[in-house]
Amino acid sequence: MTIGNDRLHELIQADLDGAISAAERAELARLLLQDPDARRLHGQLQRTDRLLRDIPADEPPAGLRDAVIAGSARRGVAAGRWNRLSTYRIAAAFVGGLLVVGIAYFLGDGSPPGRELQGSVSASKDLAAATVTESRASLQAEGFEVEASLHRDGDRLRLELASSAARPGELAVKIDPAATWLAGSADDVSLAGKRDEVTVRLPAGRHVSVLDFSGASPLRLELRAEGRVIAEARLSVSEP
Amino acid sequence: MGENVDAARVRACLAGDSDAFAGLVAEYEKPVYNLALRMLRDPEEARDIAQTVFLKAWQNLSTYDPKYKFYSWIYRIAINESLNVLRARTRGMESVDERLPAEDAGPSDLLDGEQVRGVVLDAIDRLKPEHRAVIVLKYFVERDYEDMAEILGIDAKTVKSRLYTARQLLKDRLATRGVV
Repeated sequence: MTIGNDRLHELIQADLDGAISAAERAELARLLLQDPDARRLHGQLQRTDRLLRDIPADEPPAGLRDAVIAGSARRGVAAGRWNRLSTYRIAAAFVGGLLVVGIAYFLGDGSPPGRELQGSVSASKDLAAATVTESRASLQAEGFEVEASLHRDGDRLRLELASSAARPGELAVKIDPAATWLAGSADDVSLAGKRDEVTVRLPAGRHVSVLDFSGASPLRLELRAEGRVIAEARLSVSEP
Repeated sequence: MGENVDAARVRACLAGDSDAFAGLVAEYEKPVYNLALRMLRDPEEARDIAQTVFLKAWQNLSTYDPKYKFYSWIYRIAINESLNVLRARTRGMESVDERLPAEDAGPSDLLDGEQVRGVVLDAIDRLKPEHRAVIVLKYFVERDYEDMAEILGIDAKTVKSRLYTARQLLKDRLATRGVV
């Protein structure tokens, strides 16, 4: 098996892959006929190939699919949808924010708002029923950008948070413990030792978190960094 | 599953249709799990990897380029996740020469089917990750050279060369055990 070793190996490989032409098959047959070592090599590789093909696929463990689906639901909307919509959300929130500030300015005493803390809020309405089913807010301050949306689905309130942060921070969701309670969330959420507050850790970079509440809105959001409140907003939807 | 069906499901996911994602999971759950299982030979780790793969896919669907096949993209995530686990597993350990026979090597004339399967899996287990990856993609996910090249991010010629080496190594080891 010294002459044309490379060619022999190439032909055996093609044979194993089922990608051998009739002419190549004839060439391989000639080489195997001439060389017992080549025949042994070919036979061993064929048997190895067969043993590998004979190993059956295992069934995935029960519950894997459900765990994946539940995990994706906890992480909220697919990233692509978020990325595409985020521009519109930011723009809508910005316009909403300008309107709120403008109306407040003209209806108030004419002086500009004195508070540094601010968040913009917009809501979409089911006009036929005059029912607010979704409320959105955008909190932006000191390198943090958090877009929050609250949806009502029957008795359930779903709060989706998408953050982009230059450094770690946290978002506190202030609730009325008599009327509202946390029904489900990811591991990055804690009750922070207070009945009226649910805290979401915001790591540096992009992060999405989904919280499910039972009960009634409003939810008040406080964006915090280094123990300080740097922005706040309020989300409210109609009761079922 | 046709590429067009996958592409349509991805578009639906990006439009917020979670049922479409469930369809993708149902389609690829088994091959992704088996890919991880054969790479790692640990059902628990394979389960964790499969879960991580789908969640990463869900979170990064916007980065999926539809000019590539969806399965290439998801298998690539699965291979990379498995390689990460393998690297973590072998960190600090002496590297094993994949050409050397296993310590318990020796002719095994009386092995039954299940035992032969164990010997084959042991032999795969001793391959270096890059050789194991081509064997797994070829035999357990049934990909051709072009797909393997796309999944591994290398050219088809390199895939062919790695597969050739991996087959030789397996053949040598199985021959030592008297299995081939």
